[in-house]
Amino acid sequence: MPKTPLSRVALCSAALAFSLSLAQPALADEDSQHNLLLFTSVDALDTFEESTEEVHDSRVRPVLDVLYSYSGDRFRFLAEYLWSSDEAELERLKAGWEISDNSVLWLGRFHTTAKYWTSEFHHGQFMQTSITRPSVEEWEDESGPIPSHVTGLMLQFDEHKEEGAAYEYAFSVGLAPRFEGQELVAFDMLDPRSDHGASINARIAYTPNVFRQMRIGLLAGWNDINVDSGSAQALTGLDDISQSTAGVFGDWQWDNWRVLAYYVYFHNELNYARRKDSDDFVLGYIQFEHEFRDDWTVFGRADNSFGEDLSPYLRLLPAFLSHRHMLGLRWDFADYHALSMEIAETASQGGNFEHDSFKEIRFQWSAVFR
Amino acid sequence: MRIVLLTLCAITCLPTSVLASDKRTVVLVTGTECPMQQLSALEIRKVYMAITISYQGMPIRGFRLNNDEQLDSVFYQYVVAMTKKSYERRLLSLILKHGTPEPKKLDTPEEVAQALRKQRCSIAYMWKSQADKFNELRSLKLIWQGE
Repeated sequence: MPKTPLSRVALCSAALAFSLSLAQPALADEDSQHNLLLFTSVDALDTFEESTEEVHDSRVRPVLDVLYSYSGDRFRFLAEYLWSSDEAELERLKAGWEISDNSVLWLGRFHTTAKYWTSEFHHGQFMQTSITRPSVEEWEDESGPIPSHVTGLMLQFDEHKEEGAAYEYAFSVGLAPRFEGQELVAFDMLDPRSDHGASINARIAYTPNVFRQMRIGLLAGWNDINVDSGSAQALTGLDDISQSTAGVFGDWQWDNWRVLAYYVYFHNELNYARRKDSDDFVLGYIQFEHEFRDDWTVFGRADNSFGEDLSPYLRLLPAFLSHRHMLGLRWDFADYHALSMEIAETASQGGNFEHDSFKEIRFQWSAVFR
Repeated sequence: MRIVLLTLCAITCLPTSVLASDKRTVVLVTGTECPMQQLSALEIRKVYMAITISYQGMPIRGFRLNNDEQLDSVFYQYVVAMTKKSYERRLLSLILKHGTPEPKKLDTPEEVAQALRKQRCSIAYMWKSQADKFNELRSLKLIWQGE
């Protein structure tokens, strides 16, 4: 039975209260700290030329992301709920124990460690320079090809070296999304009855300077994605998808420049009742940012795909944006507000072997309140 | 000549604590009960960047004093070596990612002294003239001295 937004909020509140009651001894600690962040944004989108029915021609979308975090002596808790004009979803709900300095064991629903942008910016729209996310980093309900939300256990560990260098490790095991209709559907903690496979993810990163945005690393994941074969004609007879990914990323800032890049190799095995399909391809992006006059940033990104044209897996995600070349401008003002603009040439995967191309223009106001 | 020599001698022979008692001196302080003798600039920076550093198994927390712009500018320049914007965004990012606690901001030196009494071997920075008023605080490092 689908939950209404109101009942979801009630369930979310109950889950929050239950988690906090478990943490009662830690809450008594004077070292404790509560944080409430409200990430808000309103973006306007217009697409034109050869627009497809999978992409909205024009829309205005307000979003509110509420993040609450608690930290005690060795205990942490984080809950995040997102409302927008088209969804209401519990995004993260996790409790963590600091098992030693700079290592935390998390239990709950979290964002996968195998996607860089996702684990860097989460739903904090204001924190990312661009309006759009790279297509390979899209959420499940935005035709993202890699699971974003995993429910299970995650271990994070930072190994600090001399002079500010560090290795960062993260490893997680949990429940992967299912494939329903034309998108992945993450495990719903507020409706935990459906059948989900396993998700295993790992990440290792190196930073020569923990005080600056300088990081390179490797990401890997394996997901057993069960399929609701009756939810779409294209899924008929498909039992499950075994997805393996391996990628490299870099996020480097020097002076007023920043470069973010992530390229990931996919191997998918689509297991039908009587046959098996497989594919291999590479998806990724590189984004450049240049800040000038302290509060203006010009940026651009290329979302690229290699060998994806004939992918049977991506054909199940016709709205996936396989190519996008974007330029944008952002103005930061009043400490925690920003106005941004983006123009892009984009191509979605399409349901057959040809991409659907279109152009888009976006405007956005984003802010964070605390 | 004798007067000049005597004056020079008087200045050079003064203990550093007397010299540092100038109102324009910022010091890093901890509780007198803490046996910690030193903390490197890198470790101090890590504490204020919300990276856990421990002493004798206890995490060292960093406290900040609110409502003092001059103290803030010394902090950004000499403690974390970042602009205010970069520092605030960095802490915001850590909360967003992991719910990482940020260094607490307190309103008065009295509150800072109380916090350092309760949380052994935690640290704070303040004007030396403020720190000298509290017997339970001791200076761990001179952060900045100016005109």
